[in-house]
Amino acid sequence: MNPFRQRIVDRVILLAVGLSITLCVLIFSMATGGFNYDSSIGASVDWVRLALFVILIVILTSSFTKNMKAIHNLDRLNKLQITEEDERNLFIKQKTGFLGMDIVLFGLTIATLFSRSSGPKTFFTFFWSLLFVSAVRVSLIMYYRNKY
Amino acid sequence: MKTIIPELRKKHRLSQEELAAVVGVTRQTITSIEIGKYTASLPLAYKIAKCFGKSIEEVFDFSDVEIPNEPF
Repeated sequence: MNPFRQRIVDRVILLAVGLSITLCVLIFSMATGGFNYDSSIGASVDWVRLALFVILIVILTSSFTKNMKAIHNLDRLNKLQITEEDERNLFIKQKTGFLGMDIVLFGLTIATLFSRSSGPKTFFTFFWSLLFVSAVRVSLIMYYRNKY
Repeated sequence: MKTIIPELRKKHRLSQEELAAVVGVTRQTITSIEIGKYTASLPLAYKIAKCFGKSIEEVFDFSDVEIPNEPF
């Protein structure tokens, strides 16, 4: 099998596992009363958590769908390969420290989603840190895309 | 770095997208190279030059590159 196609297949499996785990955690949280919908401060934490879960599920689902379509369509696979292996894109990714940033974003997302029991202060600290790092990443990508 | 890629593309009736597909990069990369914002790597510069049947020096302008005073 084409090595790139194999990489995409592995990625699809990983995305499927991630999506399943996220959905299970969300359903479990909802089933065990982990979400409070009244107007207290705790409820605002839960609304933000729910929004984050939804955004995460949407990102994972769209990535899963895009990669799955690429596996079954040679044209899409070639286009995906060109986009991912394009030297300018890789150069910009290196400049923006994409691997480190991704790890930090992933860690902050998990910490935000699971910090509910630590209280609103902890939760919102993680949440605003997540937003800040996301904003920095987006700004860096836009800057370097414009520069190069 | 200046290049004559737009002129060569016009001569061969190639769009940026077609050239990008031939050399294996995105259209945005070709655009950035043409306007001098991004400098192609050696392998990519070689592929682009060969695509038009020319040498790298004919396609890319190296006049801005400093040459050492005492070459080996």
